[in-house]
Amino acid sequence: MIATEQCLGNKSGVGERSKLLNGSNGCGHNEQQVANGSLPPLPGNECEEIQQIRRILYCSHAIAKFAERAWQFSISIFLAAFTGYKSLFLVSTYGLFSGLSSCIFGSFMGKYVDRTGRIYAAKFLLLSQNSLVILATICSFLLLSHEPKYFHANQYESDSTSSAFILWLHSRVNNLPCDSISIFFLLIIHVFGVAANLLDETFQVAIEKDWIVVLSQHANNRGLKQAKYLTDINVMMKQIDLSCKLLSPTIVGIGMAFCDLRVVSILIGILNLISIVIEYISTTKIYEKVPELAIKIRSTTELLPKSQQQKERNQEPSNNYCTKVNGFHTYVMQPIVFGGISLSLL
Amino acid sequence: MNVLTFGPIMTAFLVSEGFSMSLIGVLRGVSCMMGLFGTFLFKHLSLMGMSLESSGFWAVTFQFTCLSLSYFSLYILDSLQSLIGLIVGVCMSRVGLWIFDISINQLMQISVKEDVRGIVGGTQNAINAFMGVTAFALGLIFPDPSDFHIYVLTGYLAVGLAATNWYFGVYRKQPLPKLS
Repeated sequence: MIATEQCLGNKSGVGERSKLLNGSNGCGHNEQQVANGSLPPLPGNECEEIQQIRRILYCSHAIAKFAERAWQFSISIFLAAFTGYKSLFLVSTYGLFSGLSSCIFGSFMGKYVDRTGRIYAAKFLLLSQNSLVILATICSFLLLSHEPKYFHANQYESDSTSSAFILWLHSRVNNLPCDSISIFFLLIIHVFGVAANLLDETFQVAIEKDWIVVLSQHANNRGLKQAKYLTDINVMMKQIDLSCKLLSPTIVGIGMAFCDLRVVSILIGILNLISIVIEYISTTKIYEKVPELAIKIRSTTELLPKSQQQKERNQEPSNNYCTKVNGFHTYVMQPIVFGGISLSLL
Repeated sequence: MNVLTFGPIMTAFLVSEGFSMSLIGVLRGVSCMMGLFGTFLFKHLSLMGMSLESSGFWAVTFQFTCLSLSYFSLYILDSLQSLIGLIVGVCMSRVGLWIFDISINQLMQISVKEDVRGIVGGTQNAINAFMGVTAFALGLIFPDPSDFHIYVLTGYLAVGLAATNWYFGVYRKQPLPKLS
C-alpha cells in the first residue's frame, strides 16, 4: 500500500514536469502536427482518459510487484525456518529449480502469450500465479505449525555398511525435516512456488513487452508522442519495481521481527488475495478502455483455415526441446539480439 | 550472471567478512536508491534527446568504470579500504545498470514484431536465468569466501563483454527506426 502511495506521489511530479515541457496544451501533443492543423486539439476528457489508463496500470503493477517481492522474500526465510535455520539446502534447491524452470520453459510460455488472445492470457497468468502463491502460503502455514522430525546424519555414522558416497549424501541433507508430511508439503511448496515464479515472469513479459507497446500506439493514435509516452511508462514501471524491491522486504522484515512466522505467512496470503482482485479489475478495465488491445497479429499459421492449421501443427515439432530451439532461433533473428545478450551478462 | 550485486553470494561474502545483517540491509537500500536515481537520470537524458542506443552505451560504460574501482580495490592490502572500494563501486554501478535496463527494454519494445513479442521476451528471461544459474554453479565450484576475487573478476569481465557487445552490435550498427 505504501508503495502505491509513493508511486502515485512520483506520478504527479512526473506529470507536472511533462506539462511544463510541452507548453500549454499539457498533453504532449506533437507540436508540429498541431501547428500544421493536421490534428484537432485533443479534447480534455480523452487526455484525461489516457492518463487514467496509465494510473490504473501503475496501481496494478505496484500491488502486484509488492505482493510478489514480499512472497519471494518470505519464502526464503520460511525455507530456512523449516530446517530450524541450520541448513541452506532448501533455499538452494528452491533457487536452483526456479532458475532452471524459467531457463527451460521460458520460451514455451512466451509462445503461449503469442498464441493466445491478450485478455485470456493475462487473466489466466495472473489468476494461476496468485492462486499458486496463496496455496503455497497455506502449505507454509501448515508446515510451520507442524512439529517435524529432523534428519541427523550422525545417527548413521556408526553404520559401517554405508559407502562414502552415502555418507556424503547424508551430510548434505543433515538437519532437514524427514517425516512424510514435511516432505510432502516441501515438495508442494517447491512445485507451486517455482510454477508461480515462471507464470509471474511470463505475465511481466506480456505486460511490459506487449501491452505497454499497444498502449503507446493507442496514445499515438490520439495524438501523443509515442516515444515519450513509452519512456514515461517504462521509467515509471521501473521506479515502481525498484521501490517495491526496497520497501517490500523491509516491511516484511519488520513484520517478522514482531509477529510469528505463521502470522506472516497468512498475511502474505491475504496480500496476494488482494493483489488478485486489484490486478483482475485493473487488467479488465484497461482492456475495455483500449480497443487496440483486442486486435492482435498472430503468426501466419494462425490465420490459415482450421484444417490447414492442424496440418501445419502436426508438421511442427511440438516437444519442448524444439520449442526452446525454435524460440532461440526467433530470438537470434531479432535486430536487437546483441543488446539482449548484453543484458543477460550484466 | 553478475555476482557484483547485493545478491546472495555477495551477502554471504560480506557476512563472512564480519558485516552485520543490518548494515547489509542498509547497503542494499542504498544500491536500490542509486537505481532509482538512474531511472530519473534516464528520463532527463531522453528528454535531452539522447537516443536509446547511446544511453545504453554510456550506461554500460559507466557500470564498467564503477566495477573497475571494485575490481582494482581488491589489490589494496588494507582490507577495510579494499571492502569500501568494492562496495562503493557496486553501489555506483547500479545507476548504469538500470539506465541500461530501461534502454534495452524500450529498444525491444520498439523493434520486436508483434507476433513474436512473447517468445522473444520469454527467451530473454530464459537466457537471463541461464546466466543466473551459471553464477550459482560457480558458487558450487568455489564455495570458499576467500575465493571471492574469482567472482569479482568474472562479473567484471562479463560487464566488459556486455559493453563491447553493445558497442559493436547495437551502437555502431544502423540505428533502429525511431518512433514519433
